[in-house]
Amino acid sequence: MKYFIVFALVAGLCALAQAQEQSCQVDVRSACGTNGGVSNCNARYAAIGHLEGKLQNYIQLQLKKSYEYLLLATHFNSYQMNRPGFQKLYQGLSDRAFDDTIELIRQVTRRGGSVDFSKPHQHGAAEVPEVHLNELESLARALDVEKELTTGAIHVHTSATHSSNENREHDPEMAHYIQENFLSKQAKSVRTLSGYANDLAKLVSVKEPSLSVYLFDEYLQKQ
Amino acid sequence: MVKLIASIASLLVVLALANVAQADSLKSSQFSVVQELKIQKNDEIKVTNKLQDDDLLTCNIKSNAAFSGWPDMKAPCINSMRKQIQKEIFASTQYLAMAAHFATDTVNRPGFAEHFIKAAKEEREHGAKLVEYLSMRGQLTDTVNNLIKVPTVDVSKWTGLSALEAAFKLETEVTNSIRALIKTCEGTAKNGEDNDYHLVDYLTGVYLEEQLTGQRDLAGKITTLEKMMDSHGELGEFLFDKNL
Repeated sequence: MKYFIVFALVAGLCALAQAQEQSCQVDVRSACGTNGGVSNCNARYAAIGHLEGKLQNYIQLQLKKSYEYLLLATHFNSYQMNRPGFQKLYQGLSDRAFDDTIELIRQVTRRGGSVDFSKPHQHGAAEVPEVHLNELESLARALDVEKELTTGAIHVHTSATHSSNENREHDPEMAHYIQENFLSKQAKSVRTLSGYANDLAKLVSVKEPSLSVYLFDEYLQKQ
Repeated sequence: MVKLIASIASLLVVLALANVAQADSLKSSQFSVVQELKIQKNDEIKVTNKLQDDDLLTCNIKSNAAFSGWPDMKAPCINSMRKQIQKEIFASTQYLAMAAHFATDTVNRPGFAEHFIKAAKEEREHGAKLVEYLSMRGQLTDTVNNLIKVPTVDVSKWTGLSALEAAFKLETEVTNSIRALIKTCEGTAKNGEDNDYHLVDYLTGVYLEEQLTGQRDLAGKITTLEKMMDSHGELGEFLFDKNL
């Protein structure tokens, strides 16, 4: 009898502990008995709670930069600029940033997170982008934007890997995703744009750089 | 005078140092280009920057050509076109928000999510095509920077049906706004002097066509989903999503 009481006590404690540990199964069981919800049935685990907001910022940054690049492409598409090579370069970057926005939405929702488009972007939502630039300035600007996008990815990656705070959990899946889909791609685009900027900077250091810029634009068209 | 020059020089050195320190921060390389151009103008001031003195950039890239002034499109029409572009971008972002909602695991309607992602891409494309059109007509040589603003949009706990209905409403608004745009670009002169025939034809033939077929498609979807939900409730939405 004594053993039975001890056993019952232990079993009771276990049941209590299990109930406190929020899980889908507990929810479903109670939902079938009474009319509780199944709010614990979700795809959230690891550091998603911590990363969700950071990813939301990153998504909005990508979207913003996508339109900034679109305007830059438009600027070079005007008859007064007439640089189809530069237009192609920035249009490509704009399309890429938009596709990345969508891919990031897929990733956040894959991990049980959500994206809120009703809030304006943290940094300079009303800020008008600089697009009335000459060819060299535009490359410098694009290089800076690519670095900003890289920094954004690194920021998410750092939060996913470095669990310096005791409440913060390690999130290898998110870190891997960012690494595979963003960091290597960003390294490539930063390198390419830096190469362009340095090339053009050398080419225009002559007295009459118009022909140099024309030839460089022709080169960009073939890329 | 010497003191003044010395203080300017020291200020530039400080700026250069600050610039190096903020190498990663926003606008750094653009800032440095601008700064290098400034340095070049002050030939006598030697600042040990990363560039050698011989390699200094020249700022004589001609930005705007001599050929300008192309009086073609009328101001009211241009302004309405600009507003229309922003409307297309708004619709695109609204669809992104809907897609994000349906992609959430607790909503789990991948069919709807993909449908709205496609719609978001289409709306962005519509906006971009209008921008391209303006460039083709000699516009957008200046004031490009405030053409598009990333909007904030409404979010709510849409159901399949309410989202389709919201989308239908949005498409109707866009259609009406294109109709108003056409009217504006037709001008008011009796002799048709300010009638932008080409743009009006483009908007009518391409944009209205797409809007109307799009609306028909949405209306059909709403009907089907409504019928399925009527008899089978949640199962109706579940099945509809899988076939979307």
